[in-house]
Amino acid sequence: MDKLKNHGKRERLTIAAMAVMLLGGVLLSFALGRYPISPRETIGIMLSKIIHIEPFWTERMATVLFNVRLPRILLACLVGCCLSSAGAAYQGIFQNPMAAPDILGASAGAAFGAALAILSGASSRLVSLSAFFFSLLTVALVWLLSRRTRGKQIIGLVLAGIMISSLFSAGTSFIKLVADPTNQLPAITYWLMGSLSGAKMSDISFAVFPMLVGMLPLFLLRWRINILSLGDDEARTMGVNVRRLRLVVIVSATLVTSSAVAVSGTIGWVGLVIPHLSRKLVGSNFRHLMPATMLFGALFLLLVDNISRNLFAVEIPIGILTAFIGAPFFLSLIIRGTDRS
Amino acid sequence: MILEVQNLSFSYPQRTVLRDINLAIPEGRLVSLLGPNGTGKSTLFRCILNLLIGFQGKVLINEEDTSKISLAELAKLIAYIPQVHYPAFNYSVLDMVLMGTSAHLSAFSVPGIKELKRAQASLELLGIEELAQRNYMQISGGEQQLVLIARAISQDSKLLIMDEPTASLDFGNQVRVMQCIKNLVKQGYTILQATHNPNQAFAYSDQILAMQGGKIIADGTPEDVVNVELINELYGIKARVESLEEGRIRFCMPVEI
Repeated sequence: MDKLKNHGKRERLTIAAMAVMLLGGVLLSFALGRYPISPRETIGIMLSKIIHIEPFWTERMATVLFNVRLPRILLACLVGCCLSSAGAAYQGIFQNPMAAPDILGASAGAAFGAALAILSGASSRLVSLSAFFFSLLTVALVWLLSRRTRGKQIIGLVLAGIMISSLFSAGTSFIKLVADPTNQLPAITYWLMGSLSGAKMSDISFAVFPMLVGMLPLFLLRWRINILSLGDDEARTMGVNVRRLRLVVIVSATLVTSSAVAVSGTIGWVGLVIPHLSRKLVGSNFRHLMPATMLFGALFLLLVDNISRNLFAVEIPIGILTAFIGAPFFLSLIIRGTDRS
Repeated sequence: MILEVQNLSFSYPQRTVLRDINLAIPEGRLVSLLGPNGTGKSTLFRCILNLLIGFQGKVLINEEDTSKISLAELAKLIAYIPQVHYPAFNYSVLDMVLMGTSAHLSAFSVPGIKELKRAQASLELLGIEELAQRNYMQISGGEQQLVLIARAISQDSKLLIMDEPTASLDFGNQVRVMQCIKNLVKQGYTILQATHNPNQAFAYSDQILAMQGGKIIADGTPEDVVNVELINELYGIKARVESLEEGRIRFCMPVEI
């Protein structure tokens, strides 16, 4: 009996430890940067918004904290959380641990939308909006096409995703070809690398709503994703409406991926590596995997972003860093870890 | 009758698979479905489980037309036990069995203590409770099959459909799994299994269904139905049916080796 109550206790403790580490990581990140603010000052400045505290910090500290560091930290956490939860969800519904958030073309569509907006000289807000909508459009197109394919729906989705992605990538390449090489081309290239630099509160207010709207169903449906991962027939005979559930998961995962990519550019590897690492820590059950991967993704991107903005005098786009860290790490995982635990 | 199939036919665009199938299975029986590869056994199961749409005729479970009940309701009446396979992710045995309880949960909920108890009881019923914390991928094929059966038990439906439950198992595990299945029938479960092994049908079944060319060609007790002619008609080979232990055990062997 007690044994039953303890089922999943270790996993719950791991998740709680991750939450604590994320909180610590956030506090520490405020202190990092060219204008250091200690954790004590950070907490003081934060609390002074709610209760009256005699300032023991400078006015400039408060400005840096709210206008520069806070939006960046929040964005890093949100984007990390989004990409890794979408990756985990796709891995579940495609029954494939190699699935990534851009499997249905979300990134390729966003890149095309951003490039198109930069080409037409739009403001950075419009670039984000265009990326967001082209990303949604791409996945919608993939979904509609997959309905017309014969045979297994999953295979149809993956193949349609590959095709539409390559179509949009070709479009992006074409835009780069015709873009003005003095200002537009570098802007497009930089966007494609993925970066959180220049994050503003307005970016967050733009993205946070679709992010949360997408993440909530992914979190709530986490037990059902287990059953989808067993395959369509088995899931149906266990009473699950496979097509409806898969559609809800795809719409949710697309919403979080698209809004993350729209404000940060294409940041690869997070959505693939973090769910794998989380699986090592809490196992494959999505009940624990989903919250763990959300927290771990946020923590990971926060740490990488700290490296990105602090390690060198010139900031390295975070997309490059995640690939530098992610690819070798993933290689070591597959070379050592064939135990499938 | 716990399961009744009436005038069931199913065609793919170019090919008719099932022709006018009629069968009736009373509660508490172990029924074996014999038939050569590609004769439509799996298609018949898929129709019974409502996995295929567009078939003609009716499937009734406890007199209820399955096409008129929701998937979740159907899952409470009938469970499917697939052949042993490898899922994409390595779940613990207890989690795997817990998944069977999902038909009783709303979409947004996770299994609680009630579901855990039921999963535990299912494992105990099959005598594999000591496997609970092991990983599904790291247990033997026979144990995996028993886990899949336990999952169906935790689904709480009394009618179980099994697609060749012993297909990939060694000799000993085949016997162990069949003993477990027989034991479930004693507990009141009704089981319809597809099998390629006439001897298994002899040894364990209460009722035999033989299928050839998309039709049921024989339906009855093993003693009445399984004979040299049937084996020849089903599989196209000459065989002999012999008795051992004063007729308690019957078996069939091909005579041309």
